[in-house]
Amino acid sequence: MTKWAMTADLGRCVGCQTCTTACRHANNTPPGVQYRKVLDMEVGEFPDVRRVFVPVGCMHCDEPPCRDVCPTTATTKRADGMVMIDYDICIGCGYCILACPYQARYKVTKPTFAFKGEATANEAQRFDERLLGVAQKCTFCVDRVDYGLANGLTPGVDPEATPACVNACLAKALTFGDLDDPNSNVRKLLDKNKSFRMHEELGTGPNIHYLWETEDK
Amino acid sequence: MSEQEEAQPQMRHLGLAPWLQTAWDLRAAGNFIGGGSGTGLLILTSAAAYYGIYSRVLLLAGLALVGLGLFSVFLEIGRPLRAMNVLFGGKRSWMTREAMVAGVLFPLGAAALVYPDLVKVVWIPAAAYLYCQARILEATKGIPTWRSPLILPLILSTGIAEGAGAFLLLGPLVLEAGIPEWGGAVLISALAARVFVWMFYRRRMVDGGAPVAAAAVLIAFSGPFTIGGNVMPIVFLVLAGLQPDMAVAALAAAGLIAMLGGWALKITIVTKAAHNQGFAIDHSPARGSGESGVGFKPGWREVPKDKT
Repeated sequence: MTKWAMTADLGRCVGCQTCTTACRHANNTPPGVQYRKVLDMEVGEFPDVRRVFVPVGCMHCDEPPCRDVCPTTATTKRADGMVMIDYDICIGCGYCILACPYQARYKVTKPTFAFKGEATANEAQRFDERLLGVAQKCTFCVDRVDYGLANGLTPGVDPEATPACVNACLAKALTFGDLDDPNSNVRKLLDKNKSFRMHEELGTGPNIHYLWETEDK
Repeated sequence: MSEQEEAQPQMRHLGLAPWLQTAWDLRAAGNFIGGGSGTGLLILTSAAAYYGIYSRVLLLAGLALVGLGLFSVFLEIGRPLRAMNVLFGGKRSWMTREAMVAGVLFPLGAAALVYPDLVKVVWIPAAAYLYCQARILEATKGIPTWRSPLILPLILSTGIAEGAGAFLLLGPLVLEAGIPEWGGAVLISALAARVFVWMFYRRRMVDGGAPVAAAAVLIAFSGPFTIGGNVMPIVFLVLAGLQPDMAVAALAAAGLIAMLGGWALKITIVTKAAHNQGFAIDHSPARGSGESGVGFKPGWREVPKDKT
């Protein structure tokens, strides 16, 4: 089986937000909608204070609460682990937005553009009416992954088959790959490093793994 | 926040600590208000039928409240023309199950307007509908004050209290023989259950079950709700027992206040104490040759490990 997952090395992330920008470019998201965000945390108390950058977004959970509450079956989980939304079925009730403990979902009810009322040529060309009034979120760049698989590429290794945020990460903090493949990049990183998953106590089984220390420390 | 985001609060993203959800507003709260009060009233109207009491007005009022609640939430959805898609998710979603039960409740209620004997079974879909509403909140993992298991008895008990309140309020106007004696007993029992569950719920939320901001809302609401929404109706019920000449007015006042208390509770839980989970890390990373550090959970009270 294949199970797509991501690792985010907190020791490497410098908070440059290039992943956020790449995601917004790849998905043409309107102002205020960020499928991939990088949180800027100040942890500890003076004098032991440290700054941590934490990439977040849809965790493509093993047991996605967004899918469980969806009254329309618009939210589904693929066999490879990706949680998807069918924009043509979603009624925009917002229930999934509330059920997601990662604040990863958005609903935009009217067209919004970077420069207020007027769309740029790029925004106008790529505007997708289907996304109005329904839930939207990170797809792990499913189109790129599927394209890559159809053309014999390896997601997470070949850039054409890899999520835009991972491609853009200049610190190589983000990695994407098949968790079930013992030779995949993400599996090797998880074997070599200590990791945690956000809000794991909620039983969602999130699939972004945060690396925080190498095992040999 | 930009003007564009002001106009579309669902797009808001506010920092690290849990923030108040904006996906459901008063329109969604309206569904829980109408659904709770309506089904509560239908359950009591159905129970009254076993004592030979039948009222089309009470039946209609109960159905109307449930209908108003559904209409209210219909106004909230982004794609209203696809509203019937809500019926697709019965395998998992309590919202679908609520809609399916409504599909039984309304035809049965309408039939009971013509065939009075059917009122005796209206309580079944009404109770199921109320249960679905409670489970809708409980299934919302992203909102700590909703996902508490105690939300289930809280929503059920307040639904019965609101319904009994509506029964005592409307009963004198539409029931020829007046309100049956058990009407007051049902209300006092439901109020006792509601305030009892509320105390446990509030304590659990304040003790680390909810973000600090949400717990603060519950703390501020607790006093007025306990005294105004629960103790006062009980005082009026006692007064009705002690002063028979004032009984009708006192029962109606008790009913009205109990009902309004339940509505305030739902508005508070759905729209005011509805902060999301926020973000957290279990560890700070080791950078370079440095050491790793503690985790961080902004907006939450620190709870000793043995209490989690």
